[in-house]
Amino acid sequence: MTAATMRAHPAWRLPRLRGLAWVTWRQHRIALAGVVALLGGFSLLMLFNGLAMHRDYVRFGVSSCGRLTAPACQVPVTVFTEHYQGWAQFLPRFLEFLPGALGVFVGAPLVARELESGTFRFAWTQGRHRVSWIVVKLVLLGAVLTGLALAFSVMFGWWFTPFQPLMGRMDGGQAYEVTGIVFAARTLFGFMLGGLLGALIRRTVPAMAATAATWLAVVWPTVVFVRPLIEKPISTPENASFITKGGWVVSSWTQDAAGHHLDEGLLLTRARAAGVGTSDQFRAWMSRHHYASWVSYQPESRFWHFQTVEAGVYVAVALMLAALTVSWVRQRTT
Amino acid sequence: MNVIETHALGKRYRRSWALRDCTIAIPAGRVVALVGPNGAGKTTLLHLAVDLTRQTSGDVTVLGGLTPGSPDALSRVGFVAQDTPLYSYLSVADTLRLVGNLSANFDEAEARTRLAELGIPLRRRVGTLSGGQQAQVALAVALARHPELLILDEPVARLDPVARHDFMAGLMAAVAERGISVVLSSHVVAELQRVCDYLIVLAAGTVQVAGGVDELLAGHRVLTGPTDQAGEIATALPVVHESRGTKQSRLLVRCTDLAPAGWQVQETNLEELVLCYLRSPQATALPGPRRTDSDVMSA
Repeated sequence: MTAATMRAHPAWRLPRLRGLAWVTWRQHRIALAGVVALLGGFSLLMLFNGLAMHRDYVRFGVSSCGRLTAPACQVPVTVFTEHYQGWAQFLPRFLEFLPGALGVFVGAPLVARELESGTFRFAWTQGRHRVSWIVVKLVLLGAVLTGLALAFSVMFGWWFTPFQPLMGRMDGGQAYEVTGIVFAARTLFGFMLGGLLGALIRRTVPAMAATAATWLAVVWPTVVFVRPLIEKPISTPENASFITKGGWVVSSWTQDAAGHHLDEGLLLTRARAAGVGTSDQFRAWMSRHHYASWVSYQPESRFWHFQTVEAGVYVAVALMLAALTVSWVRQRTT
Repeated sequence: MNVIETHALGKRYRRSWALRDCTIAIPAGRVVALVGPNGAGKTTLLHLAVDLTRQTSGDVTVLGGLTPGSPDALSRVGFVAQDTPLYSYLSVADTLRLVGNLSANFDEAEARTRLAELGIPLRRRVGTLSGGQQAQVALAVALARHPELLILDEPVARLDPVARHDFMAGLMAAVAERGISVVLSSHVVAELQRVCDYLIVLAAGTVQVAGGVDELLAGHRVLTGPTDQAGEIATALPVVHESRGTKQSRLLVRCTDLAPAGWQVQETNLEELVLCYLRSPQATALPGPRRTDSDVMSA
């Protein structure tokens, strides 16, 4: 559709942007189009794959066999899992890096490109103060990216629904990273991180590299070390265990009747001394001594609590980074 | 009114001072040339005047007391930065729209007319224009914002002689028409005599010469005469610079119409004047206009 016909149908016209909003749109529309293409491409993939997956969930009888632990469900669940588990495990492991990529490609060049090419001397002397300039850019782009990321998470959440009762959404590096609100919060964090590093480093490509490295250096330890601390995990004997399905197993150990944790090496030495050879004998020996395997886990029911806490921290950090960027632009001394 | 006024203004980058103890008052309604070798602090001074950098010490105001970076100063001062940075990926038309969205008093129609007269197509991307055309776009944008003070940092440094001439002609026509104050820095001195009526020479971060071009030219003479008498003259007259040959010497002296016997007196020109001062960093000529706060004159 040409511009002329657009004008002839006012109902089709986008709201008219003015001032710094127009400037932001004009300067970053290509980056935004790239983001939409990237997220849109994956959404389309999930749409087609998800339609087939949802259909097969019904067709294989997983939806109608009753409780998933019931014997009637064993075959449908196995068939369905064999078909789609690869997707369910692989896709989130890849998609979880998208928020970092958005920070690298939209956030890092935001100020760095202006400083590198010298255009800040043009942009900051045309009438609008550079503080308004940076605030409008951070707010608008941050809001749009977060919104797009949130929409993408909703899309992923729909795609993942058949697996939710089978795998849960709590396990690190899996659906947890892409559903809910953590994905969007990390996108905002990545964008603001890129913005600040771009302002500090002043060169686009090094700023992009630094953003990627910093984002990973923050997110990965958070997933592995910080997230388990959000709430004390629940401990339970392992053989009680379908409840842990869908939950996130944090640790496992063996304990005696009094609840003392036992060293695995010591346990094996003792069992061998008692003449235990096969695993059946080992199990019998364990129950004779009232030794039991235990796990501690974060249940699926804590999903939103964990998401809210983690996303809240990312958003708070993102806002701090944004404030630093604004104050850097304001006090810029070279 | 002074369009730029500084008092003991200094700017230090890490360890070295780019500008030091700079006190000047640039009067309104003039076309001011800010001259000096590379690294003299010209860009630093101009950036301080448009709030692209912050001073380490002292103070600076524009247009009779406005703080650089204040809303008033931002809308009433136009600035064309060194190498005329523009967004190379935008079309000329979008560049105009961008400025229209950044500045309150931008007359886009006027800028379009000006660019049409220069034959610069609006649909072309700025990055594909020649250096001269990019400079003209930057000038058209700056003029269409109707500034009271237009500051240009080395606007013609990278242009070829034809583009340089066209740019200056365009600038001067606009100045004559509107009577805006202009401050332009340059290390190309030859261009300036036609264009400027006020001169500031900046060397090594301090002001060496400041004054009206006519007064400066009227207050200096070139004496040519026998070298064996040159030393004698130097003790009697304020010599700015001397170049002694084996027989003949050429001296630039200040404030004299006295021709010593055997010496020839000639008028000087702006280029020679500037060069002589730059070669004699210890010489200064600072009558200049009075600052509005006259008590600092004693400093």
